[in-house]
Amino acid sequence: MFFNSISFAVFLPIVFLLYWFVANKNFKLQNILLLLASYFFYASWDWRFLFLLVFSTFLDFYSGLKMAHAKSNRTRKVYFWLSISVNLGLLGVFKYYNFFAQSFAELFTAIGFQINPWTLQVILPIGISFYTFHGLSYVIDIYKNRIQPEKNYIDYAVFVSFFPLLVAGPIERATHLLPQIKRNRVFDVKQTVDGLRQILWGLFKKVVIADQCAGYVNDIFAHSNQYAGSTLALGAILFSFQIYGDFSGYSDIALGSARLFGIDLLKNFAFPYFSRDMAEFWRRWHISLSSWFKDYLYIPLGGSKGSHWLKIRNTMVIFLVSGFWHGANWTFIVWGLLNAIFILPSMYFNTHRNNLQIIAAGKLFPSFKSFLAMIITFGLTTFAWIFFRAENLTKALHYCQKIFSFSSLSMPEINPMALYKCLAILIVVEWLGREKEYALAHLEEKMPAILRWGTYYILVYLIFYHVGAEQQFIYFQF
Amino acid sequence: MKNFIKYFILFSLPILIVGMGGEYLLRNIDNDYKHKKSYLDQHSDDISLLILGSSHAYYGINPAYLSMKSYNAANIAQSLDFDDAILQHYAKHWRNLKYLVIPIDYLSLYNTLSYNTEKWRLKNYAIYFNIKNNNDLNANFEVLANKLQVNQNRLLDYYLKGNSVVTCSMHGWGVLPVIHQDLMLTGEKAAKRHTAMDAHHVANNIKALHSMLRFAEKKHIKVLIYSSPAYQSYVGNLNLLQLQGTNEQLKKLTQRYKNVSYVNYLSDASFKASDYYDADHLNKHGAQKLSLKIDSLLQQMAKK
Repeated sequence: MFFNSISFAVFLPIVFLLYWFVANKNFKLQNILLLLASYFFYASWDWRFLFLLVFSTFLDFYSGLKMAHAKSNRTRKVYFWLSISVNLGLLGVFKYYNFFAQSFAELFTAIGFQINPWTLQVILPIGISFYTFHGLSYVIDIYKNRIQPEKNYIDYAVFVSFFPLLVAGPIERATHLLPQIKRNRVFDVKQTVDGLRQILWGLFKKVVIADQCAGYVNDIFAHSNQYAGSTLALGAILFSFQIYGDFSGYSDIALGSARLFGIDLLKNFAFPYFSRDMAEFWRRWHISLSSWFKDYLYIPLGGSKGSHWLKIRNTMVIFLVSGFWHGANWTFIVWGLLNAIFILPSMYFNTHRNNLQIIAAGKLFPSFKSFLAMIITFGLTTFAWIFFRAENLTKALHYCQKIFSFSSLSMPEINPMALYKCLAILIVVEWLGREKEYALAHLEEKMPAILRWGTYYILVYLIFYHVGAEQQFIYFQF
Repeated sequence: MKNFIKYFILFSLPILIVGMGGEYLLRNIDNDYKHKKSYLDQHSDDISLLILGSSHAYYGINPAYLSMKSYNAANIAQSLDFDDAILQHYAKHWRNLKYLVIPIDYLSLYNTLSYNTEKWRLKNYAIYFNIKNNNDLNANFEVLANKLQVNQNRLLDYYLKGNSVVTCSMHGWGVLPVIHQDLMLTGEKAAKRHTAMDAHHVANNIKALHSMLRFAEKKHIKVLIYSSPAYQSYVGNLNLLQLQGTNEQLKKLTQRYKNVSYVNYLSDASFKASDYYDADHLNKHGAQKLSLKIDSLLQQMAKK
């Protein structure tokens, strides 16, 4: 059941009505409803993996309780490592086993030994990387005495499995989400309308931008040997918009859906393509994952304290692990490495916190310097995305080689005019709304009702105009 | 809360009205599926020969050249599960049905409509044939199965320009013009497209095939399975393992069912470049040639 499917368009209102009309008076009943709805939502993909989700949830819940009640430090450690190793073990088996088996086989072949590794014929359980990280942060926080364990299984299970965030985040923290789950939620018209508006904008980004870009991107990447460098450059730029429309669109739908139930999720995107340097980009892109890595990996490694070499090491580690988190493929690792290389100068010269405010705050246009910095940052991220999108390293290198050849001086062989118009709408709307929570958030303050409704109808029209066979969200595979 | 619901309904109402109006108008457009359903509803008791299959049979066999009362119930991208569903849908009829012609081509066992790019056609079976082989809600509505872009053009084409989208003859055959596409290019592309099919569908397709063959056996209907002719640019680009897999399955089936005959036209040299519309579809000349060959085969089968 994808967010852009008709099944979800039926499922969401049903849960919404039951939540506010049937279970309205009692937040415990609301939590039970949310849990059942979330398990139904997850089972609609593959019911067999529901057992894995329940097992993982129960293990972390139980370990958390045992750690809190342990009389000795040794017992605490045992439960901590039990939870960590089982969670990472499951992730390793389902996501990384085949990658390591094949990589070792290739390594042995290169040094003259022929081995045929045993590989697993399993599909990756949807959302495993996300709910595993939920569980890990919860267990680590209890172990480090940052939080007390949750005593109610239903509440904890809703924290892990709440359907808007279950399959592709945002990666929540117990300190942020659990208190909301444990308190009474009152229906708030403003919050609900805001949620619907955010869902609408998310659908626009997914259906009108990402899915349209996907058609061109798939063709250009599949036939990269037949196209000129200029077309390949266009393909890379379109992929930048595709992945942004896809993932930030998903996040908007997730955050908007959660708002319908009176719950605020962590912000995941803050207009990343308006960033002026790579450090700013990473503060604005997939924020919940970046902050997870910062809190649970970067800071424990020493963070930016200490010598320059320590800073460089820690930055490299965090980006390589982030790349590997995205998938068991060398392309993701190189993508992570490139981002690390791009960000290192600002870490070294301590300029990484220069751009903490959004670009041209309070102004309509940016300065020339900011504009140039934004274009360069976009260029660097686009270059790195080539590795993210390519099937393998050989194809990615060939793709880059062609972009930097003389054939890039020609006009692209593809001229998607209709898509350019939609991209223009995206850029203008996001630019105008860049100081808000999401692009359309300012609509209510600035427009009279008739214009507001007109805008919504135009967006609905554009969505239906472009919606075709349901396209999967890119981040669902991670 | 009540105010929110009121405004939400007020906002949604125009969208629902436009959607329902569009659905009504789209369903009123004449199409091949409606024609086929209407013909089979009226004549399934009289038909002696039924042709099933995908576009290869739809464009490839013209019942006008067959000696007995025949109907071509094939359609574009129609996979074996839908062939079976159509056959079973009229199971209580077919009083005169003596022959069943089923094409099994390179892609037939590796493809199913519910999982390929022509998935949008599922709604035609759900709406016009009342055959639902899929739980997808989109497959039950004209307005949801396609982009608004497509539906808008369909409405304009039919209601304003008066263009018809019916491409089949009264006997269900799909007419393709004599002018042909680039045979080399289309061959290469189609072979690649058909090779990409998923091996996971084989078991379900074999199951559908068994279901049809058992039905035919029970009703004493003779079955002719054939592989459609294709241009060398298509044949030359096929994956030998997939082709071999199909041939092995066909061998097993013909051994198991005595009422089944098989003939392979895939590399039949009597089909020339001028017989093709593209590398894997015959034009009307090619269809005449194939129809006559099949007719002659059926007559031989009748004598046995």
